[in-house]
Amino acid sequence: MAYIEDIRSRFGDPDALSSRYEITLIDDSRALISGQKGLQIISNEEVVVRVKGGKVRVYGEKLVVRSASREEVFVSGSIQGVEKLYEA
Amino acid sequence: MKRDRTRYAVPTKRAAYLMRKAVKAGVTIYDVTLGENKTAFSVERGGERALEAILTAERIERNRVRERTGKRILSFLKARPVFAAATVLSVMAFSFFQCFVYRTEISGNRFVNTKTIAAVLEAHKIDGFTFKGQVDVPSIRSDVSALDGVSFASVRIKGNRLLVEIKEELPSSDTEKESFEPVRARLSAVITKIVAESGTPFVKIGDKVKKGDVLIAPVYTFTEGEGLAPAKGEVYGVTTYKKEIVLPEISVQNERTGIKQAVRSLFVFGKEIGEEKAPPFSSYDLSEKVVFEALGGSVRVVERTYYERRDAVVFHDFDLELPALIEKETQNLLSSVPFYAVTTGGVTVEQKKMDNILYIVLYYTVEQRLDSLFAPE
Repeated sequence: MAYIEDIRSRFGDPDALSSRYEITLIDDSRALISGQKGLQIISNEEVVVRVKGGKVRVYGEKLVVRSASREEVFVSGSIQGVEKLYEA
Repeated sequence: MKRDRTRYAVPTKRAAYLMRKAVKAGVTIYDVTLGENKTAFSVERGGERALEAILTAERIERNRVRERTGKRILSFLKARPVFAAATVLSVMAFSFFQCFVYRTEISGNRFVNTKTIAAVLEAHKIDGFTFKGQVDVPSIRSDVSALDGVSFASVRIKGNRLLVEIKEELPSSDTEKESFEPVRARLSAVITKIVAESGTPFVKIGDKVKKGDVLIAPVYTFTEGEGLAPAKGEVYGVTTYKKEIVLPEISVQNERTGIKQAVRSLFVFGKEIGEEKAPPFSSYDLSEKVVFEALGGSVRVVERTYYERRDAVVFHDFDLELPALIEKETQNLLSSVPFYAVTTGGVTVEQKKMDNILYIVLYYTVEQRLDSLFAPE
């Protein structure tokens, strides 16, 4: 994804930003979580995905996992928010 | 382009757990939908085996529905209505034309005329576009097989074509027998055409020949001499059929006078009872009929009727009788001419009157095959 590379470069030090995971939100209807470590919860209201160092929670209404592969999870629906849950 | 996928419906609430295991096993999951106690999702064909292994290990029942390519094509067409309409119309047109036969192919004939076979097809109304349901293949096969020279016929429909294949009868073995008899004239004529297949023509065009004359000799001439060769060929000539009528002005004709006399005799066991009665006229016609019969035919009464005949002098009126007579004799003349003769003109009439006798001669000139090898009658 070139634009992610672009974002990295804007921080001036791409190596420092070698990502463990990435969350891309497109409008309020689609979310792409790359670098996932496993699906934790799937429901119509929330999708929780494990990532390195914690979990990412996408919440909203009528959520659907459009695709899930080893690298990424693509969620669509009416997304109200995305939050990072840190492991204790 | 999406690859074919299989949709699974599994009765589990632990959707995330199952998805996680599947993803870990390298299976990409698509379109996860959650229902009450049921999770549905799709996987690509390549991931089916791994997923099945997981479901089996987890003892999870599943319903599989293959997402047909057709379904995707349908949605593709829905998004392109003009293209879809054109496709549907093309399919309909193709299906419509598949219902018709609009080409015929005739093969296998060398001697049997293609037009003859085509005429049979025409008789069965196979011309231009013909609905396949109207093509009576067995009947056509039977009619084509019945043609002269056809020993076997195959008729079938292939696509839009009606294929007629025939096997012809082998030439008669008689024609292959070599004959060293000369070809002779069957009747007197003036030669108009000679086609010698074998042997040496003995006459040329314009020659007058009589019945029995040699037309083609069974010899072959070459530089060192002559050799025998079967005489074969066709010879045509112009010949004249003739009918003569002699009509005297006065003739004597034996005619019935109109006087008749009936005599009855009794027969018992076939024997006439009483004296045999002499005929009442010196010249007569006689007719007999049984008028009574008893005891199984042992007793019969037979009536004999005598019709008197006498010679009478008849005076002919030529002007009155001639047209009808010529018409009648012309018909007789034409009926005596073979059907394969080709006319070269109409019937000509010659009349000559000598000593109160009218001579009439009818002539009818035709061209026909006259060699002895041809005898269709």
